[in-house]
Amino acid sequence: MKKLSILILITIFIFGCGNKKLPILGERAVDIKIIDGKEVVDSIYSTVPNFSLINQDGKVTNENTIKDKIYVADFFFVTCPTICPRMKKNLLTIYKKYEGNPNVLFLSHTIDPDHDSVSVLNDFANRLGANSKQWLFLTGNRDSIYQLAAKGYYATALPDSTEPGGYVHSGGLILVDKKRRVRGIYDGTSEKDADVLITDIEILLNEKE
Amino acid sequence: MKKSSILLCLFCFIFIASCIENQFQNATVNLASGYQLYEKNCSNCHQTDGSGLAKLYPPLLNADYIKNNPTAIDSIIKYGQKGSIIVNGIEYNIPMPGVKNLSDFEIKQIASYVLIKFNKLDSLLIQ
Repeated sequence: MKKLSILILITIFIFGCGNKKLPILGERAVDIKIIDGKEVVDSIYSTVPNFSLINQDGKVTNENTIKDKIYVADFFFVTCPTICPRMKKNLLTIYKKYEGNPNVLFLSHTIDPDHDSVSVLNDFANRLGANSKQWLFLTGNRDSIYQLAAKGYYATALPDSTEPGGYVHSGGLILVDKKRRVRGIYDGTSEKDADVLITDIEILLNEKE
Repeated sequence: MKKSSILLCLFCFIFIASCIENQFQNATVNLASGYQLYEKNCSNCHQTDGSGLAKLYPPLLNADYIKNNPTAIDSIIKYGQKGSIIVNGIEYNIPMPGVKNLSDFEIKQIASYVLIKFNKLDSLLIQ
């Protein structure tokens, strides 16, 4: 009997280790409630704020679009001569893996909305082979996009005339869960990081509410 | 007389052989520099293996456009490329900016790398 309980404990331990959990990034606030006379401490996590942008089909894209979806976000611009093409190549690999999966979306935000109009993004997305229902290329008000990058996704996006292409931006791929919480940031130029991102999407897909 | 002509022949042979070897060494050095310059200036879009990306950035690897226009590479690197081009049957139309801050010699090194490594073309550009 004692042996059996040890065996059960070991089994639980091994399977327990297999369930890797992803961290929840960003600041968190603590909410203390009194329920039935007892103090209950609850964490409130940072979430991606509401937004309103236009996709490559000219359709409004906002927080309702990403409701109950896992998605990968990034910031780029069409004429970027440096890291964007590498990011897009890695994103394309990840996209192909989840093409047709209704639970996974991709949101690529332009940081050069003056140039990257709806029609420019439409052509870019078509050439890349992206379906506009699952991989959304977003444009809109420049300041809103920059604020969304900084506050929602912890990403940098700024004009910089000394940079090739005229902008400086982080090459991160940002993984967001169904509750709009950032769960991981990956180097978009690294093939290894793309593999890790795929593993982490699997973890999120299997995560229970 | 005979001895001296043999010596002369030997001298000529060594001279030519060393020239060939020297050229070979230069070619190897140029290809290595070409690779490094390619990685730094071209591989973001055209990829390290020259395969390009979807219908956005054309391949340089086994590309009919390059085989048909081997001498055009230099000016495309220097001044860029605008408008529609067809490479291996696919139309590409994203403008490529010219690569700044490269000397003519460095451009030749990149062009040679693209011609030899990606397209198996003998290059007369390496000198």
